[in-house]
Amino acid sequence: MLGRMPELLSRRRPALIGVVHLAPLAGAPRYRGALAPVLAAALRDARALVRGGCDALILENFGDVPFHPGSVPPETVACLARALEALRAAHPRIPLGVNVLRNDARAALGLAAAFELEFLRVNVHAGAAASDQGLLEGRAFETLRERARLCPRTAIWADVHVKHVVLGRRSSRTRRWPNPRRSSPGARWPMR
Amino acid sequence: MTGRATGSAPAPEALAEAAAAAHAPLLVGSGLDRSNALALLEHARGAIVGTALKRGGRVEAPVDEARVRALAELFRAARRAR
Repeated sequence: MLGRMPELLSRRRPALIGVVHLAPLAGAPRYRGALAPVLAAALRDARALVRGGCDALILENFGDVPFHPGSVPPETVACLARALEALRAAHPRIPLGVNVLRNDARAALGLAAAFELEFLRVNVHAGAAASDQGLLEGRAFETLRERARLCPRTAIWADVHVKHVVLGRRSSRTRRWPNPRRSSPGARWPMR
Repeated sequence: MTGRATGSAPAPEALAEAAAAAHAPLLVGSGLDRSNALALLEHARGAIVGTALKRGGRVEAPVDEARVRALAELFRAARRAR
């Protein structure tokens, strides 16, 4: 994680952040042709997460497989905006974030600016990673500049060691963490 | 910090190492559930949890409020331990 730390992570107890997984959105191969049931399911999940005691919610376009390795198309951002609008309206006091899968921090920043999101998650922020979507490249240089311009209060939660990737020559079989003296958290290359 | 896939947890020792090296608060990013929560939370400020809160622990199922409540209870216990 880096950037501004929301109050959420400063408490004396650990924060429970519940994920709202969206069903396939418009444009995705498995989209069923109507957004209303997707939004209704997201609201049901969010309600259960909040009533059950989650401290925050994060929204993901989880059903949009196979994911774009770079920028998502405008219809994805538009659908995510509808979902965020619904979640904000239903749970105005719950900190809210987004992860635009697979790695579109720029789209997440746009949503953060529009909805004053407390945080966004980006899976590959620095370095690069080979995934089933192809090469995911960190765009920290852009993400941090654009955050300063668009939504300076939004925290960036960057994965240190993201799932579903093969990290260069990192020995994932032995699960060895890269030597912290040679690679700052989030940096994945070189991997020796 | 995540494990190797959705629903799989990072090893607590890897988490501890990352926490020591990181200059920012660390969250568990996958695989946290009732069985490993207390061990993982020793090294993190919190966790992003999806799969473990779904009915039957199946990622494609709806969120199960009872599972959320049970995990939130554990998080409150972790607060008292810290």
